[in-house]
Amino acid sequence: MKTALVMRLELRRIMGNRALLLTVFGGLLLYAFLYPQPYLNQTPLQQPIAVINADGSQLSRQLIRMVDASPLLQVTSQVASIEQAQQQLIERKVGGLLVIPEHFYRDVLMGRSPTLSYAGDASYFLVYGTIVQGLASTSGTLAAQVKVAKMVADGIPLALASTLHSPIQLSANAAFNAHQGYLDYVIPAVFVVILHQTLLIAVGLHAAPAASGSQAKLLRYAAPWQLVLCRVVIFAVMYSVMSSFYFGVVLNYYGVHHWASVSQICHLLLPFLIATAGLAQCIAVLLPKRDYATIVGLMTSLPTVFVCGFIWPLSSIPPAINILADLIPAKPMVLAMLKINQMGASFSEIQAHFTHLWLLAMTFSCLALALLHMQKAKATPSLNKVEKLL
Amino acid sequence: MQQCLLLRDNAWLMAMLTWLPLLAFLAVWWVFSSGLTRELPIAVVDHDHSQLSRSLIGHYDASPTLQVRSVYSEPQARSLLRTGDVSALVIIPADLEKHTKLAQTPTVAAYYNSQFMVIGKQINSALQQAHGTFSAKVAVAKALSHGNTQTLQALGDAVPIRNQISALYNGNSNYAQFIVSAALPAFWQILIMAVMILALGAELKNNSFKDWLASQAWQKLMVKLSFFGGLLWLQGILLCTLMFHGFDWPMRGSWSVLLLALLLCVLASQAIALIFMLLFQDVARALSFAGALTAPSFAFMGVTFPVSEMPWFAQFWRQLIPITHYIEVQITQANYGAGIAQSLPNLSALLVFGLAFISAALLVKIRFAKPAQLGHNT
Repeated sequence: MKTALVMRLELRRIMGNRALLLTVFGGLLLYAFLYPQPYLNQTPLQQPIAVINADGSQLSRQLIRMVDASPLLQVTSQVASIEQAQQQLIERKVGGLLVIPEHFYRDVLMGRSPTLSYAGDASYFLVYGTIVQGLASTSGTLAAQVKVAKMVADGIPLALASTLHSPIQLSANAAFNAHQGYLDYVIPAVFVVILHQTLLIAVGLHAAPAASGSQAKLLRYAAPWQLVLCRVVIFAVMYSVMSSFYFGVVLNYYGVHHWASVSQICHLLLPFLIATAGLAQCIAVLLPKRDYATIVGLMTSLPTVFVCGFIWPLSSIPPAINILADLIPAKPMVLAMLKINQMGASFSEIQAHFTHLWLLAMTFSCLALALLHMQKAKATPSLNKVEKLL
Repeated sequence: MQQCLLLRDNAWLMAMLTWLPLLAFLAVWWVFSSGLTRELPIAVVDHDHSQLSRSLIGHYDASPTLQVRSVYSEPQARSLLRTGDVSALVIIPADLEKHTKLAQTPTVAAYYNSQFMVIGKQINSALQQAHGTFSAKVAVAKALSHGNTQTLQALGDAVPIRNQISALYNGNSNYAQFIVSAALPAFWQILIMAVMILALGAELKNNSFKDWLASQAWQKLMVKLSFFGGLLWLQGILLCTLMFHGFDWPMRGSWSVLLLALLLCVLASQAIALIFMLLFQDVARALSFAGALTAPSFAFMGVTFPVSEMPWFAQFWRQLIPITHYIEVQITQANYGAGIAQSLPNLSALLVFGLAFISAALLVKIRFAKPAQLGHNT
């Protein structure tokens, strides 16, 4: 059978597969809208906290005002005891609490360094981090003010005192995702995983043995290499359109910063799409029915997100899991895309990931070819027997 | 009995009810099993090469979170940061020691990678902490070298206010406990949907439920739902046992409330699976819709990102996902050890899903019973 004919037949089968079209176009459009929804506000601000003020001095009131003025925090209640504060915490009315100890002002004046205790609900890490950060920086500011005030009292000019309060300063800056937005953190990586998972499902829905048997018929007349080639070409073209939509239109729409040029991204996409389509064909051959493709895609999505190294550092993931994850095209692609598009790395700096993707592309294509050969041999024994008899 | 046969003949369904979830639960936990990030590499470019700068670097290195990699040139260090080989870049200016001695307050610049937010935040706070300690030590040493002050007094001058920070309900700030205890239920819900759709799909003949439901629709559905519901509930119990006994995360609340929440969650998810199946009468499409609803549920749970900060649409959408109600119960029970009253709103939300399931089943009964009766009459 001519390759062009196989291509046309395959195209017709894809166009006639409603579940596949729904997954690719409906699914991708829906996720582009749905997935970023929770994170649109980017960073939690004005987190409510409770204050227990056992001091009642002017300094403690000043501290409370400073905390309230911090963009990260909002003092929503002043309570008398830690138990009351904890009750509010359980009721989710506040996310943290600040305890100003007794004799706070006196101890500061006498240089006894009193201890401010603060606590946050670590059931929610982002809220906890925000509260701790807000309280720590406010406490630091107050400490600096106290120091300067003391120096001025000791006769040092104010201008000098304000530079002297810390012998060495640290200016810590966020690089890349500079405003520390959650959308910028999650979306660029998750989009790669979404493309990866839906491609796995789509190829699976197309290439897994279907009840109607058109797949088996095609397998009988077409050579396995033709099938692998046609499928890779069709899905790669289809997904380069969808990927451009995701990385071009959607990222831009959400205002996610990006560095890489179009040609660089296309360069990376090619091996990624070939590798994913290859892997999907390998999985498809092993599936008993095409419906299972969706299940495989759904069930592997969360674990795939976790092993890609942007949520949890690769160095903290057990080596065995890392080795397994290296077989998933999403992982090198996520890392490469984040580095080149979010962190401004040059193409030569991500060469290792690029090579990795090409290796996977070749491996999975060959494997898919071998599996299809096996499937063909299994599907046509009767035919061979007939030929032998003749 | 019929259900058992279905299970025996369908290796996939069997796997999804037995070894597969266990494997997946353990795998997800294993990814995060180290719990805390330690020894994250940071690049330090030291332009000063003095005793003071070496001591500062020593302080950074002493932090359990950080591991210093000395780099000689800034461009190389920046490249390491871009490629993710190091998570932060610290530049110590020339004349650090000289300026410190002259009280000119030199500034050390640090750039941490906040594209990887968890790592970035930890690096930032570890750097601040190490730097704070070092700064205080330098100040104390200075004060003492000027003579006559007492150590305590000097410390008080250097650190006028001390901070004590506690992480409530997750004492060690264990990231595994935080993320895995939410991720596993999210995964479990996808599993419930998939199992139910496959189990119902096994009765689909000629793309229709008509024959199967024609007589005794109510009974057939009840048998199917309760058989698989029971197994899935057991799975949920196994999941909680694994989390609160196997991984030894604290469970402060009431087990009976938790088990009730699991049961209601199974029922609610079954209800959704049932409705999708009856609407589409097609496994692939029902799975697509169930996937669209449940696959992003981890993002909507409000564990990684606070619910209060979500825009209205996200807040509305999360109400439609049963597991977001369950996770609230799990957190209030396991972490806070709250009473049942605290969990009532979420339990009743799950119950509403269950009611939806009963009404859906009733509708089915009406829809499938009538043509059958007509068939008998004619």
